[in-house]
Amino acid sequence: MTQPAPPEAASATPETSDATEPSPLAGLVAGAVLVAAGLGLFTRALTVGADRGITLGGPTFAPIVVTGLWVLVAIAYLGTQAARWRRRTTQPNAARPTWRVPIMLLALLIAYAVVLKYTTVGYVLATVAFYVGAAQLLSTRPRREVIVRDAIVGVVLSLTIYLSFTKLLGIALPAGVLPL
Amino acid sequence: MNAFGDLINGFGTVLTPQNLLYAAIGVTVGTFVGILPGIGPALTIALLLPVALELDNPTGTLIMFAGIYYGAMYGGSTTSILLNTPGESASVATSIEGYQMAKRGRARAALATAAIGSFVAAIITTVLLTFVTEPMARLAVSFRASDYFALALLAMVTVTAVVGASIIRGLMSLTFGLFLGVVGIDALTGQARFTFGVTSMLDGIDVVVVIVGLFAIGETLFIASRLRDLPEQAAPLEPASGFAWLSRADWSRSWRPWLRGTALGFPFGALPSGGAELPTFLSYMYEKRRAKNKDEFGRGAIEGVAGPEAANNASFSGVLVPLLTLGIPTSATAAVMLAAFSYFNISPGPQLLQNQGPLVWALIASLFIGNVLLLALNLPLIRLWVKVLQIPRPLLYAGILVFATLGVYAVSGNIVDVLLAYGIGLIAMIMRHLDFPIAPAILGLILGPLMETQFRRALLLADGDLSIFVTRPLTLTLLLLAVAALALPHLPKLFRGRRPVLSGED
Amino acid sequence: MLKKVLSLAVAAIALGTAGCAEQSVGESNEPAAVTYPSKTLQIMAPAAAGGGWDTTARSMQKAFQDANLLNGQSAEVRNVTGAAGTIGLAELVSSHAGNAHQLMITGLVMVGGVVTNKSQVNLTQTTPIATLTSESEVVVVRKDSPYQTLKDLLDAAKADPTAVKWGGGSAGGTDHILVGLLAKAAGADAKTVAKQYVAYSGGGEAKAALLSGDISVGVSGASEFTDLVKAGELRALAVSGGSPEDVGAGSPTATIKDAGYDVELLNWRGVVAPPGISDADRTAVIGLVDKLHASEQWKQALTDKKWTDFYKSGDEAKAYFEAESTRITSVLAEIGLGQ
Repeated sequence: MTQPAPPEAASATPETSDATEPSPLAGLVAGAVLVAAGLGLFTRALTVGADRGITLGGPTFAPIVVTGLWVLVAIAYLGTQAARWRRRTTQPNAARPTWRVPIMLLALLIAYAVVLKYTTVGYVLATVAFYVGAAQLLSTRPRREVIVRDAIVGVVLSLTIYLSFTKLLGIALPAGVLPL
Repeated sequence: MNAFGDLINGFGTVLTPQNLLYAAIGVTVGTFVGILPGIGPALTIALLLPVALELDNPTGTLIMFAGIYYGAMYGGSTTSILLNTPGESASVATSIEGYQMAKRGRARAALATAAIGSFVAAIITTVLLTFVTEPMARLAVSFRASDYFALALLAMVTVTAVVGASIIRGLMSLTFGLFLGVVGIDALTGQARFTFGVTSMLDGIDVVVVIVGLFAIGETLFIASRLRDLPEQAAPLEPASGFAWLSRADWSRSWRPWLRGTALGFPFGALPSGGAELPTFLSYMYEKRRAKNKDEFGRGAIEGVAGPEAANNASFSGVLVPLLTLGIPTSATAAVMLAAFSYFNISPGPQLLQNQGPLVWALIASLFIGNVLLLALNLPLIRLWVKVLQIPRPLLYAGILVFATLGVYAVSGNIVDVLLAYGIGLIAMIMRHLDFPIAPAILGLILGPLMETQFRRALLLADGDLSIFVTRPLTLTLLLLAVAALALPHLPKLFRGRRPVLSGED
Repeated sequence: MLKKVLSLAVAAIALGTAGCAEQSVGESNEPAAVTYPSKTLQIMAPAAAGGGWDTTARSMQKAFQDANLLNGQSAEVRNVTGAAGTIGLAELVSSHAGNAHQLMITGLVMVGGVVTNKSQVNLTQTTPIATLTSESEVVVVRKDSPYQTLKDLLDAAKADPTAVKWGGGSAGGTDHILVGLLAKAAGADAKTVAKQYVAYSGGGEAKAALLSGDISVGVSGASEFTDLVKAGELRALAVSGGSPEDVGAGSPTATIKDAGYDVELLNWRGVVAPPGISDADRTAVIGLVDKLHASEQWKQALTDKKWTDFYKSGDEAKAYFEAESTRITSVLAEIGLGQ
């Protein structure tokens, strides 16, 4: 009953961390992107520094240090990934992430923000639509089974948020076409 | 003795049904506010201020506000632990181990150690607040820019332990945070940096935007990319055992971190540029370093929840020290409370205790009562919170996205902030896939600007003379400690044989 | 919800009786050319909730509603944060042109922000309505400071521009502008003096820096240092307004002008409408804000928040906005923050 937790905790789940080992190629690509981005930012910091002058107490010093550090760390990372690439074995692709869902979610999020800001649809309708859409994307079950449930939860959620923000906190959310 | 008598009177003032009601409203509102990302206690208090003014009851209002502040801190840990979506930077350290515990079915123990740790820290520091306020405040305002720089450097060096399994990936994440920290107008000269011509970025990237992006959005996108591999349901809860969901082993592993976290949080809170984030990370780092079983860190070590949560709550009492004695607000919430004071014609400052004694003692008494209420509210709520894990995943994470967007948009009304949060979320998802730790980015974002600003302030005030960093004893001491902290981790290698004996006292 | 239903009901009644009630709305003598507001009045606070502009917007909203000035319509406050209010300003000018039901809070800080942030839009592109409140600035030193008077301080800064370390709010903000104006008036090297200014975020940090000895002079809004002046920790040297003011010392502190320097600076707040609204609309909005200013509810808000009444409306406000823009732009250029 009062056993110390470590053994149980250790045995309760498989020993990998959150992410399954990323593929060597992904690491290599990420390393290259990081180095490129770092170099771009570092160049920019240096150019601005050259324009305005670089002094220890000036505003251009920290950006140069930070982006310089970025470049160095990114190169080191690329190095470790290159080493992994050389040591790679033809491992079976056990758990490949699916990129379709997160990308569609992002697109949906952006659409949601744009609708909130630039249209007169209003918070409640936009949120219900977004909620149902996001829940659909995240669902592994057939659509028709869950869409009614999602819609009901979405309506309750968005109405609760809208009313408590506008009436209780005094933070205005776009009312839109609904007569709320 | 005198203080004790005053405090008793304070309890007399607070223990009326009406004030207790205010306290109860405060802690309840605070708990819910703490759970929502972006809507922090500062904003809530600012928005409720006009309502409170109409009540025309200074004591009741202050009691309610203190309840909101503490409640928000209790609430803030809940989402960090259950969903890995901290809503504010002070809960990030808690999420590191807390979420791992939840994933292994130990959510109740994690929530319980967080709640009880918060309670212990708040009670101890409120007692301290009663007795050491004046000297403490004097000490706190003796810190100069060069001291702050040295302190930030020391913190930066020591918390590299948070960096995680791979030093390089941890450093990369830290650098990303540091970079986000330099974006925007330079505070000292007003020059724009890395804003790429976007006006909205002149103010820099708000910490809330980064937190929401890195955690709430990043985590959801990460889940979305692995839907097929994830089990349909969350890990089954480990059977409850012991008192308040903590087994005897949990209790014995928690109480020391609570006390150590408290000891870190209180003084940092009192420092005018201290904040609540640093002590939480320092506490995490400290618990990790002295843990017997280091391997367990990163897989749900209860010490890593107990310490930071205590530090977080202790820092609030610390914040009250300079606020009450010198009228110096050291956090956004403190600044709003100062505004509330001024509406009631209470001027905090050296004379507050003489002029408004009964009110201050009532406030301090209400801190005790608020925390008792919060513990009474939060322990039973654990039963309810863990049910969150049983909500079907699509509903839960779609809801998280709604709240994340709300937290950024409702507060700023600025679409660039919202898009930035999404962009950072995308980066965070990729970071998760490539096994980059997330927490160091937050550290970089908080520590970087602190270091830079204080370094340059010190230099400016010394007319560019670098010797300022070695001529002030406090600065020099802190800098030497930083050097020692860099060197120390390598010393044990020399004494490897003796190490088990050294740490055996735990 | 209930409130909304009620206000809808009131609006319906108001509409129903509009025929006979048109002349008597607000009981003003001048005939109302247009019924205004005819829908929800939007007040934009171009800063985060809880700050000065936000509090002004919410106080206006409350006074409008409590004094029944809105024809039964309601008012709504929306925050658009960022870059000293210039994000909100840009939104007002670009997306709300011609909409008389959209107001925005503004102030001296935005005038400075337009310059330091190189904003594409400026305040003169809006339709000025009124200035509402103002606050003086105060110059303080520690109790053990060698500077007994403002003259001592400025003489020291003139003799050696780097000798005095100043501290206050954000770079290019009101406090920084005052330092530049003072240096200029004293004949000191304004650019160098302004470089000795350390920007702090919020009053708390600046207070702590004064007490720790980091900075020798603090510049901030008059109410900021009241407690510490009262406690004798700090000494107030001068206030920047038009008349002496008690900032905690127990007796009024003299103005900068009293000390012989021709500087007056008020941190004012006001309200503007979007560009492109019709003259009739402009008159109606000004009329509404005039009524707000005359209302008991607004006077109460001023007392509660300890704001100084500073009211100019219509053409007077327009002239004031323009004069301030010119003055602030030139000061900022002189201290090296403009161009």
